[in-house]
Amino acid sequence: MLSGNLAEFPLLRLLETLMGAARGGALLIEHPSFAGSIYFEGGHPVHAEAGPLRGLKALELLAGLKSAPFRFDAEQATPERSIERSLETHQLILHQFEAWSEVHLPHNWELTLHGCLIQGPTQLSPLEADVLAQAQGKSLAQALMSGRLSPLETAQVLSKLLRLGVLEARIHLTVEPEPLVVLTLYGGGQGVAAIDEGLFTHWQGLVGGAFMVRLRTKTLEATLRPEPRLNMQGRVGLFERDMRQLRLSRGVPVEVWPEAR
Amino acid sequence: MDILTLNDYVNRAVYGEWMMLVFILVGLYLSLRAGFPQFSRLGVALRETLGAIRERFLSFGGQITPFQAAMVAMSATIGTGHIIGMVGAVLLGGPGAVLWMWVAYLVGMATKFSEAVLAVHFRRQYTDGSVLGGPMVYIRYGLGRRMAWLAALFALFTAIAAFGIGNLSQAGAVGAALAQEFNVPPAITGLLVALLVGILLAGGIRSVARFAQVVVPLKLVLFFLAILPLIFIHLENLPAAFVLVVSSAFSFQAAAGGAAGAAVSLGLAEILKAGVGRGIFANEAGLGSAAIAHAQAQVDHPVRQGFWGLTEMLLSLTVTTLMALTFIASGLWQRFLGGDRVEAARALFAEHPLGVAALGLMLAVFALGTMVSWGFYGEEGAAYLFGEGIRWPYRLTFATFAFVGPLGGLAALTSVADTLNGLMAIPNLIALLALGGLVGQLLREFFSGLPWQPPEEED
Repeated sequence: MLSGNLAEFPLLRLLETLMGAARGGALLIEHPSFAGSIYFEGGHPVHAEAGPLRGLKALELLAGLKSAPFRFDAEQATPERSIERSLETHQLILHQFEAWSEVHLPHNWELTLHGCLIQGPTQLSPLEADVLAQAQGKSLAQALMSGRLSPLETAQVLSKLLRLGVLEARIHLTVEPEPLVVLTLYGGGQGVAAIDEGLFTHWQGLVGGAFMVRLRTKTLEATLRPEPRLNMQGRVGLFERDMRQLRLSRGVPVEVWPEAR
Repeated sequence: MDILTLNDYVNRAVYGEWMMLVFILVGLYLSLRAGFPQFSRLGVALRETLGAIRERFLSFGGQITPFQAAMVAMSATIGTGHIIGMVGAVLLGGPGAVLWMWVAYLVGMATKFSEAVLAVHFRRQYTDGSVLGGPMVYIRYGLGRRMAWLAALFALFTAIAAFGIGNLSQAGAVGAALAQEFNVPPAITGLLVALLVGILLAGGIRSVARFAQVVVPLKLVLFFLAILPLIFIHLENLPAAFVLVVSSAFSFQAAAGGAAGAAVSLGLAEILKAGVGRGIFANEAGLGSAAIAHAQAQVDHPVRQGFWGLTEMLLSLTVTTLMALTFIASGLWQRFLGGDRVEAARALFAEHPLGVAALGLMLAVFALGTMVSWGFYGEEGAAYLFGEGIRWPYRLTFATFAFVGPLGGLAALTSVADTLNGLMAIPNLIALLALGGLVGQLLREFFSGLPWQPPEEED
């Protein structure tokens, strides 16, 4: 049985090999976010599935995968036919792979997409604004599968939004927000959240590297740079300038949690 | 020269004019090094303490909160000296003594601030979360191994002085107040006080802090309930009393009157001594005792605890000032000038709707609070000298003395302990002088938003 990872055997090469050998069976791709499969008859792809997608749209999504375990099962029969056996189809598949090579998305499609406030004017087309609104809070894989556009078109827009900085792809963490109380830090600093060094180390371990902290009050949220400090249990230290901007005062309870950079 | 004569000689020296001058000079030096925090940082200090009072039970992870540590210190500081001692200062130095008391308080604020900052900066924290700190620790680790003897001397003075100012004197005051105003037999008072103090000290700092956080507000409530009716009675004389404080600050003459019924004339030296003496010894700034309590606070930066030192002084100043102005406004000071301070205080509170009982109850609570905190101070001093094993024997001995206190006697021991209490200031003031620059540096770092870097721990 043929098996491996798309990071080592790119999908295009796999397809060329299977088509060249005129094989029949199913190429099963086990992405953490969805199950994908491409069915072959006599070396021709006749059906594809990727999450809720079927046919060429599913194949289009799978063409963008840079990494995922796969295996080829020659015994599996095609459950249905959703792709036409024709020269145009072959050309279309090749075109999809070419187009994907120009899209720059993170390889990890489990990252969660978050909108960011950016300095200065940014002009977004109605289409881009629509994709931005649709993608907020979803994983990259979900955004590619659930858009009104095809996966490739969605990927092209997302790639641009990420490049502009209006969208950020971050590791999705399920860390319970820590209830902390605001403590005033004096001096000219800004954009810093001083947290207890124990909590800092704990969150660093959970995130697995550098992280930012998200602070939520009753009315707003802010992202700040964490700074470990001694004896800060139960507190989050904020500089006076940040406190003024966030309309906070000493002793106010807030919720704080880490977010991967 | 026998031991008691020597004690009298040393006692006069440590509570004398020259020593007062040293207190003031050290306070001025610390004010300079820290940029006069009692004026320049007073707003921040009030915001960080009274302004953040809703966080009083919210700890930074330690055994007690900064508020509780301040309450332990204030429980010791706000004692009978704020009532009887203040009346005594006016009787010795006239109304003008109050002005010099204010000056001494203002200078002492920087001293208390520095003590609290250094106490937190140099304190030792053990793996079980307990803390040992205070002047003995900042002398030892701030001035280095060569000055370990000075740290030991401070700890020794504290451990013994606690039996005098913190035990026999206070237990005696409780016994006298309850016997005089409520006819409680001294033996019963002694037994109850010994039990209460013993139980509270047995619970360690957490128990002492829990008691202090109740007893200090109770002290303040009792004080205001006792003083406000008297202020109301003498309200129209208060402006004149204030004018008298200022006008008689440099010299004072009373044609006839006073306790002796003769003309009284007071020079600047006498007025200064009475006022400055009260302004120094009423609040313990410079003695180092309060630093033992402040060291217990877990806090992100020593300067934040220093602000509690400033606020503590401000509250102490409020109590002594209200007491002094009310006494002057009552006019009783003229009748008792140079006379008995307890009788004068009783005469003042006789005008209270509850009578002298108000004074008795207040003095009993004030003295009890002071005892518990001083018991803890003495225990910390003993633990520094002899290790953790000394705690229980010290607590039991302290409770036993608390029983003896209301019965009277042991005057010689009380006198020696009083001298040692004054001597505590010498090692502490030396350390404050040497470490004044560090206090300034920590203050600058705090206001630059820099995190606190505790000193490297050495064995």
